[in-house]
Amino acid sequence: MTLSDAVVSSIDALKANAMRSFLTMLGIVIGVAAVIAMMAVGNGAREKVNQQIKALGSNLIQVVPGNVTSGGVRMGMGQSSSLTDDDARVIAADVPAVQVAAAVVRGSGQIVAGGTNWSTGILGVTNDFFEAREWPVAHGRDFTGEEATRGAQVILLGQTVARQLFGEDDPVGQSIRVRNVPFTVIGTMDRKGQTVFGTDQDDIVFVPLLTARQRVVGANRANNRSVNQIMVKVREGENLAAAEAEIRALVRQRHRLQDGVDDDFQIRNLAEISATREQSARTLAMLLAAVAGVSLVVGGIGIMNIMLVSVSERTREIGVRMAVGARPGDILRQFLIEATTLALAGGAIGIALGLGVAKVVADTAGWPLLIQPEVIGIAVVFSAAVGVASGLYPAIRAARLDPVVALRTG
Amino acid sequence: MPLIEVSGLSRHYTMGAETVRALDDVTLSIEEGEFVAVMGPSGSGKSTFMNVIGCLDRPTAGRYHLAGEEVSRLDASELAGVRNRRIGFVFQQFNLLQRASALANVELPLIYGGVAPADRHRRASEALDRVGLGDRGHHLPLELSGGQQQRVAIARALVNTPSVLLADEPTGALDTLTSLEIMAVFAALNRQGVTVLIVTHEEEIARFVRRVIRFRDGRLVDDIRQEAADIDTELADWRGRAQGRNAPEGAPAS
Repeated sequence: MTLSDAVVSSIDALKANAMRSFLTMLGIVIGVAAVIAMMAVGNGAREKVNQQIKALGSNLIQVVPGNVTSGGVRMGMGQSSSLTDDDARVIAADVPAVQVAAAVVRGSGQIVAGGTNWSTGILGVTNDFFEAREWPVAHGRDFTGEEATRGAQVILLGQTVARQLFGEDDPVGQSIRVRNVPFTVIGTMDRKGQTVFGTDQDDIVFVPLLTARQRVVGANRANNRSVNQIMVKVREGENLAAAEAEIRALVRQRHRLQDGVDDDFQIRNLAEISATREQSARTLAMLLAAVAGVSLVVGGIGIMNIMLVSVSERTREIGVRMAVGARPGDILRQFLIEATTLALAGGAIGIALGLGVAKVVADTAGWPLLIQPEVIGIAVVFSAAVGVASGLYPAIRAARLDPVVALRTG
Repeated sequence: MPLIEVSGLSRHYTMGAETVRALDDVTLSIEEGEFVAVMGPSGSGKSTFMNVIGCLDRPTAGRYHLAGEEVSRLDASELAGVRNRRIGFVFQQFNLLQRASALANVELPLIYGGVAPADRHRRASEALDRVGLGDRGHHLPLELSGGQQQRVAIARALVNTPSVLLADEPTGALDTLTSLEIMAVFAALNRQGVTVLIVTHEEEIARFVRRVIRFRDGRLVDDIRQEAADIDTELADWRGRAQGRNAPEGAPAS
């Protein structure tokens, strides 16, 4: 009996009990559909997150001071005062791939405007920062060169701060006090929204870097040129990893670090943050795989059950086939192929159903619909494997029937 | 060389402490081209004999040569091959696959014999022609009468040109006229050289064969050769009488 004969005969047998065949498939259909849909939805969600991370500012590299060891006591990351705004300037000047490098001094404090007050983050920056973060001023203006070099007491408000202090009123031109130092509001920033981690990026104010050092945050006692962070934007199309390596080499050289000495700074890029997200997505995928595994096993048990029924119903047919020359192997193969056909048909329907569900979810949530071809391949392979595994025992029982007994049955 | 040669053939079943001797020390040979009836009351061992001769069952003792080949010690797979090449079965209940057309049923042995599809169709059609059903190939078994179904079964048994045709109560489910028609098919095939063994308990049927063997309690008790009654004459008689019964009143009796 050739394979095609066996397949044709199996399909005939399944069609003879169409309703039962369909119900049997249902377990596999649901299992496979769930896998396909969840994978597609998961990928779509991850793509959405990646888009959000990109919106944060693409091609960004953060350089932060490293930990210092002082008399055997290791301080936390960012405590060192090794990084300066000169480093930022040299990075911007000497690394061709870098579009802009912005030095940032960070602090926080209470802001008072008229009768209300608000506690928020204070960043001392230059206009380069707004370019790096692709974060324009929505209303008013950014710092002038004169304000930056003089250390003028001017301030830009994030959307959240502006709303908290002034409500619907226009804050530009108003006077506020930051840690009891008077400032003039020169503008409000564009709305940036939440980060992927849920922090409100608009709950922030910006002052010139020099002003922050002299008046608000206070200069580091060890190094009054030190910064908390250098935000580097790499030009579009440049290799992020290569740029990172160049920056690392340059800063090491500037800090006169010998070979074998640890970096006194750390370089992070947002690709690493997305790698973290990737990791959690993988965990989710494992969970989904477990769910899929359970449904496929349950589906397989259904197939095994119905194949056992089928074998006992068709005992006489098996006897006739044996009488006309079917070998035990032929009978085994026939039932195995039947079970596999059943599982594969279920898998195919499941894939179609899963794609449909994924499409609906993606359309509703506004995600891109991402189908990995290998997921479909895996679904097909798994359905076939379930078919073979669950068909094996019934098929062996059929093949071992005694033809004399089988012909007397039913 | 006899086509079928058995010596000391036994088939014993162990049921608890008891041993059932379904077939006990049977020695016998059948030549090619013979037309044999196997008779005996139920439980006599005639069915067990047919199962062993048909390679569906293996003897517990004794030897069985089929066309010179010792088949009593073959395994299940080898026996299937022997059945496919050498044996054609016809059953009381026809045993056709209900979902398959007459032609597909006849093709079944060829499928297991590994015959190519084009060849299969041709040979199956020829076999249906031989039993007079050449025009019924695409009918399902349920669309055919009992006699026609049994003819399809005979075509299936013939299609692989077996050494021997084994028929187990082939007329048991049929009326008298149809039984005679089926016997006529067997007689015609036998005239063409096919060896035919028929298991029956009807003396009426056994009249048409040339050799009758009888079993009782698992033993061969009788083996006689006889002049076979002419099935074609009897069939013509029956048809005539049936027509006479159905003829309108006043018509001359034939």
